[in-house]
Order: sequence, then C-alpha cells, then structure tokens
Amino acid sequence: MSDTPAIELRDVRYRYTRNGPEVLKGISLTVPAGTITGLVGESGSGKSTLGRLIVDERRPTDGHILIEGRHWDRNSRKNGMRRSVQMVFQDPFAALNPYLSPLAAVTEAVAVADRLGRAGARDRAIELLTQVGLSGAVVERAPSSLSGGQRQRVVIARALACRPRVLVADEATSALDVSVQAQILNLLMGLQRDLGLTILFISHDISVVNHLTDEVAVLKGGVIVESGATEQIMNAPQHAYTRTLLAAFGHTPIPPRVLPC
Amino acid sequence: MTLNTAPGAQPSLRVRDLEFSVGDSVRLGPITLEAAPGTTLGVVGETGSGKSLLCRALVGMLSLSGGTIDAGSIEFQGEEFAQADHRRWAQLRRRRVGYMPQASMAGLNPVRRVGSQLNDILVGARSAKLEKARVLMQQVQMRDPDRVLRSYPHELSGGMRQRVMLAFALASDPEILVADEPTTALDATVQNEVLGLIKQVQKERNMAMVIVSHDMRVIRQVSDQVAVMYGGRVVELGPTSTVLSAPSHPYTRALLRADPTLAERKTLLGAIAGAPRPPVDWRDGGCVYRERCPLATEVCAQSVPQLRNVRADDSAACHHAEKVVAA
Repeated sequence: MSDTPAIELRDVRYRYTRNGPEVLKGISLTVPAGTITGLVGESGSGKSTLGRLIVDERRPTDGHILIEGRHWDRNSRKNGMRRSVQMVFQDPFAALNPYLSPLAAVTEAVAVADRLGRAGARDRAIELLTQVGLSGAVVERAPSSLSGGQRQRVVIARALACRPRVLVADEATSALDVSVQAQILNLLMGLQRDLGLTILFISHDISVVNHLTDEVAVLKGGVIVESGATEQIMNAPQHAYTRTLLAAFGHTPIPPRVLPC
Repeated sequence: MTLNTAPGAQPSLRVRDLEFSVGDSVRLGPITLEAAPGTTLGVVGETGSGKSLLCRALVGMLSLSGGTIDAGSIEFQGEEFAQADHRRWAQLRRRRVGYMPQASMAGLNPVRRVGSQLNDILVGARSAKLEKARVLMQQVQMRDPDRVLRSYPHELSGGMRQRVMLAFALASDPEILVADEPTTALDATVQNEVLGLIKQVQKERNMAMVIVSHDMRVIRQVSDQVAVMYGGRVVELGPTSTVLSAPSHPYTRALLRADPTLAERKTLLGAIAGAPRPPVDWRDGGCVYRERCPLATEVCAQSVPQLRNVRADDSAACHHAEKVVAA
C-alpha cells in the first residue's frame, strides 16, 4: 500500500451536452489505495456518471482525475493505466456475451490482457475463475444457465484478467438476492484482502455500504455533501441529507446482533 | 351483497392449502396464510420463490399468467373464492379487494391521463366519480389532485406513480389490499414515504394487507405476521418479531445471516451456497431447500416437510426445525 491515493478527483465537473445541466458540480475526492470506498446517493445524484468518468469512459468537462497519481491522457492505453482500472456493472445478465461460456469469456480477456494465445490464456482463466469461486462443469456452460451470482462472478473474474489495481463496482449487488449478494460481498472483501485491490463501491444501499466499506462519500445532486471513515459517518453523520438517508434505511448505530450458529 | 362485519374474530383473508400451477412445470403450494382486519401479512422471498404468482392467485388474476388454481381454498370474510369464475372475481376486485401490481410504469397505461384511467374503475354518476377521484388523490397525499388527474404517467415521479397505483387500488374501498413489491423501484427515502402512507391508509380504513417484498427491511418495517417463501412454498409462518429474530426454519436463519444489516461490519456474511430454486413440484421428492441446507439429512430427501407448529405461534416446514430453535 503506497501513500499515493488510488483515485484522486480534483474539482471534477461534467455535463452530458454543451448547454445541458451540470450533473457533477465540482467533485473532489480521494480514495486511499487498498480501501473499499463507498459512493452513496439516490437515483440521479450522479453516482454512475462519476463511475464512468473514473474508468475514462467519458472525460470530465472540467477538473482532473488521477489514478495512482497519473492523469488520463492519450497514452493511457499504451502505458497500462487503462487496464489498471476495471468496472463491474449492475446487470450481470447484460454484461456477458450470451454465446460465450464463462471460461471462453475470461480466456478471451486474458488473451488480450497478456497477449497470449487461447491455449496459453486458458490456464490463467481457470485460475481466475477458481479465485472467484467458479470451477468444474459450470465454467463450460452457457451464461443463460447461470444464476445472477454466478454471472457476477464471471464479470469479476473477467475484470481481474487485466490485473487491475482499482475496481469500480457500480451497483454490483443490487440485482442480486440477499443470499447471493452475501456471496459477492464476501468475494469483494476477499479481493481487497488478498490482492490489495482498491474498490470504489457505488450503491444506494446503506446497509451494504456500511458493511463493506472503509470510507464513504455521500453524493447529492452532483455534489459530495459528506465524506470520511464509514464508521464515523454512520455513527455521527454531520450533514442533514446523510441523516435523512440513514434514517430511511432505519440505520441506527446498534451493537451487532450475534445470531446463533 | 351481504357484508360480514362481525368485529375482530374473522380474518379478512384466509388461505388454506392452496395449490396452483402455471403450465406443467411450475407448481406452487400448498400455501396457508391469513390476514385479519387492520393487520399486515408480509410475504418475503427471493427471486422465483413465487411471490408475484401468489399475489395474482389471491386476487383471481392467475389466468393472466396462464395459471390455474388446483386445490385448496381462498376465503374473503368467510366466502369461498378459490374456484370462483371470472365474473365473481371481477366483482370481488371491484368491491372488496385492492391490488397493487409490481412496477408502477407497467401498471398504468402510458398514453392515457391518470384521471381518465381512474374514471374507468370508479362507479356512479360522472360528477360523483370526479369527486371520488379527487378524494382518492387527497388520500394518497397528492398536493394538487387536479394536476395529477390531468397528467400522463410519464409526467409523474416514481413515488407519485406508486401513490397513483395505491389510489387505484383503494378505488374499490377494499377490505383487503394486496401489494406486490410496492416500493421496490423507489429510492430509500421515497420508499419510506410510500410505506408510511400505506400504513396510514390501512389504519384509517382498518384494512387487512398482504405486502410482498424481497426486501426484509420493508417486511420488518410494515408487517405483523410474516410468511417466508422458498421454491413456491411457505416454509415459515409466524409473528414478524419472532420469525425475523429467532426463526425456526434453516432458510429463514440463513437469510438473516446473509443480511448485512444484522452483521458486524467487515465480517464475512453467511452466504447461502447455490442459487434460489424456482417453484417446482415438491411432491416429486423431498425438501427443495435441502441442496443448500447445512442441516439436511436423508429424511429431507425422502419426504416433503409439512408446515407445522414448532412453537406456540410459529410454524415451519422443516424436519429439523427443533434443531434450529435450540441452536
């Protein structure tokens, strides 16, 4: 873990069209390396837009985005910066090619990332799939026969093929059932621990963010109204909006209830 | 029509051993549950557990999904409807049962104004209908009823559309409201407003409610009794306070352990291996949950557990429920 932040946003502004409304109104945020940082807010607050700017799918209208101290520029593709930031989306049903098995999908990603032939890429693909908890016959099946949780694992394994330093997860567990959501949350915590991965976890679900993240930023109307250590924000929110959001989730700082084993 | 208004005693809705199916492969039930006036039954379950089909069965709209009721009974105020024909169900929905389908955008006609759609389902003279429409809009706390009635659905926000759906469901002055995921597409703060509104209306009218949701937070917040569904069956039924804190079915327990709200921060959650099962025919073999259940033994593969009383007011369909309670 270095002192250079994994993601640094400096007064980032964005509008979709030249004369359109500003959807991000000067975002400054630092995501420390090796942390899971939550980005919370309601629909339309600009969470996903910010996620897309961070992975350089779009360029900000104004301001700067630094990944491990480097700016996005025309060399980003060549110097490996592009690969170091990967994204996991909400809908695991839309994110996979329906004609490629998990193994084929991840093999393709490894082949591109490591400049290997299919045969050479296959071993590492199997390794990655095992790492996310998929092995055996399931990796050869068609995506249509996979559950939402299994699909999301494939998406994560594919993202890991590029050996990213930063993962942006946009509502990655929102479409999943509680029992399956737990599998994916456990997996993300494991990746943080084992690979030292930095994860920006975008979500509207306070309970999940509270559980998973080290730091959290609260976005409202394109502005970050509050950010800091998750525990601090959950226990002593300073901004009125944060309090409303926490109240809506019935989140009161309670001692953890231990369920019988 | 005779209205049975004996106070208290009789539940508004009583479902006994209801079995229904869609096509040859999807079979649900037997399902047993009830809802008394002024109380709320929460139905919680994961994707494909059969929640929406159950809602449709309860309001006589299963045929829209190509399904039929095969056995069991559905009583409204003691009156049997399970095998009622289309006409009787329609009459029931017009007079006594309100239904809020899932997804408010799909429940409204996008090319007609809200007022004109509401007009269709109200009865009486023209002026009386308009008055009633205004009253309904006020009841669901619309600040400007006339503007909402003039609006097309797309001109309204998600929360407003959901309140319009509630107004539609209340148009028949129902004794019972069946709401399928009433707040799922909404932001948490709006979700709270809508739930609060539903509870308030329920109180004013002493209505019985069945609220279906995959979200345990919602169920915890609104329901008095809870039915936990898995694979097309009710696997646990009891008071919300008991079931969601000290359950007696291993599936309910697993759901609670997977819920980040209840876990200590940054700890591993109790994920349930595998994925939820779609509603299938339980009579083919044993317990459908056994493939994900840590307590499963041979008996689970051999016989289907029936819903039975485990504690005073809590029932579970599990051969090993006592072990869950004792743990």
